[in-house]
Amino acid sequence: MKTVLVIFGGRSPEHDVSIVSAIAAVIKPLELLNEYKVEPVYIAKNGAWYWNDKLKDVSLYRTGQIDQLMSKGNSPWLEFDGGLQLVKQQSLGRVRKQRIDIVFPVMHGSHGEDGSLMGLLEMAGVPYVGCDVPSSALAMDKVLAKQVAAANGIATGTWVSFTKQELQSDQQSVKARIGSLSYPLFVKPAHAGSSIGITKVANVSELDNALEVAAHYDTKIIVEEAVPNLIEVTLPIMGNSEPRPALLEQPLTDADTFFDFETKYMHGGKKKMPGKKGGKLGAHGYSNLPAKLPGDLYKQAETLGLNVYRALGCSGTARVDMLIDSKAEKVYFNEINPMPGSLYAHNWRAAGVSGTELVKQLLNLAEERYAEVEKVQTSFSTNFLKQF
Amino acid sequence: MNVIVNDLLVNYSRQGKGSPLLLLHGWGDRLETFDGIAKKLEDSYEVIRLDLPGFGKSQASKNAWGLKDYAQHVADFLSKIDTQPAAIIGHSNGGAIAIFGLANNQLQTGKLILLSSAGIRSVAKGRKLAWKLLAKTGKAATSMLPSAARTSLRTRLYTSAGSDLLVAPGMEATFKRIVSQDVQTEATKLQLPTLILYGMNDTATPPEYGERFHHAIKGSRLVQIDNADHFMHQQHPDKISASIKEFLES
Repeated sequence: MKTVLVIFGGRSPEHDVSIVSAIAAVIKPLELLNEYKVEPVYIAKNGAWYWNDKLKDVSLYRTGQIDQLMSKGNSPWLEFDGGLQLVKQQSLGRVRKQRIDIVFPVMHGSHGEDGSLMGLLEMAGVPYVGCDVPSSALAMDKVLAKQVAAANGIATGTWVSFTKQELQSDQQSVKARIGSLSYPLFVKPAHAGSSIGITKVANVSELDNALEVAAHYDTKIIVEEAVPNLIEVTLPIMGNSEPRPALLEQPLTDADTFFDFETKYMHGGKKKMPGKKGGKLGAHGYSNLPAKLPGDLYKQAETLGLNVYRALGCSGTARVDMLIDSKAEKVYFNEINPMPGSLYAHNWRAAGVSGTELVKQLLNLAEERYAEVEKVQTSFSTNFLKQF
Repeated sequence: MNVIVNDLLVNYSRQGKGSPLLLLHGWGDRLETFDGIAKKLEDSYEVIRLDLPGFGKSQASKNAWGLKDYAQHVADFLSKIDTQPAAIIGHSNGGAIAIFGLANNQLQTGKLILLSSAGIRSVAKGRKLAWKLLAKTGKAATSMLPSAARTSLRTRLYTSAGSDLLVAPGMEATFKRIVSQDVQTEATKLQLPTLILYGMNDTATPPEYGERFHHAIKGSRLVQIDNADHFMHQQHPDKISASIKEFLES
């Protein structure tokens, strides 16, 4: 039986969402499969790692018992000896060791979804689920992602970007560049994963505050024109060289908060609809699945999503967010998330892939990519050292 | 809405039109605590609420804060959004911040409304000691509340963006500083019309606190609300907002 290490939590603001994604969408289905041994590693907000079987229980985090567990140690160290091994000191001088066959990182935002964790796993030489280092890094930088997409002929809307340093040292020219855009605008930190630091700006009088807020979170800022007659859609995609789409979904609320802590656990998996006292709706209350779009917009968006996935070199899975001008019937690439919250399992289910099949296929894709990379020889025998 | 105040991101909201009212929430709470009364007040006033640093969607301070720091932060926030409130409404610890800031001229306003205000720390030495002990466990923030409120508050806390703010090192130290600060002396310095509201079933800040503040603040009006606990503004938004409106219009 192969051992899968599920890593979640992390130092990003999306720490809580990561816990829910890992436990509900990865650990539970993996245990149901009964084909893998599952080892959980939780990364606390301060960056400390914890390894304990109890970390698989969501009530630990909800009740605050996680504090006790953390106070008792439970921190592992990692051994890179031709693979990855978790090691932990136990009582009476005993040491617990566990060899890891595949890693399932379920991290959102910085220090996890941005390629940094993937870099660690590459160094360890272990297969891991999801996008690799370069595609994760590209995906988590809104500016680079748009530049790569645009270079591949994909429509990205109208936007400008600049650094915090440029904003401070040459505000006039930055403002002139922003001045070339038509309001309303969205001002965003280039890297933040969730909606943190994003401001919709109706007119120039609101611009300074929005820039200050974005610059508080990032050293790079992107300002985008709002798309008129807007329909937002999102498309989960899975695969390596032959990516396949799930269903195009039209969120009726902020896509990033789809399956947050409150929704999934505090209200028993259902969300109270605003304005309707006691009224509860499930996932279907959040979105049109599949999206209902006029004309051939569904096909256009699906094709654009797959093109973005390929252009950025994604593998494993990712979710592409797109903006549609329904009047002009034009689709624009907006953002890409290498590790969608809860894997967007609800969408895959609707597309005919169960939660257990989803995690199994993702593990297979991880091994397939690892095998592909292994095939490429990276070490050569030379006589270079002999000359010294 | 977001704004940066002294290098901290502050989440705030403003709704309605009229004289501006500033609402300050209590420890472990967030601006949504006032949803009920804000809806009732917005037809006559501009209701401004912020998540205090370390709570709701606002960034935590980098070190341990006392009431003076919180009051200064509120003053700096008001100056950043260029607003002078006609009245300040403070719930629980928000009341203690308002009293401290007004007494020390950090804050300026026309009228003050205290809802189940905290800031009296010497009624029972035992209670103070218990708080200090609880503070050491890192669970103190909600432990002082009645069990129903505790459950509801913890639920809200754990659903917030930064669910474990309570155990963030900075917030624990801040809590210990806050619960050791008594504002009864500051209250005696206040010279503005003040309405004091306390719930008769409040065990976190019992009605006797209201009597003490009423005694300390010259010319203040004390109203005790039946069948109300520490979160009376959530239990009785109609009654509380009606009392506030009547006081503001008097």
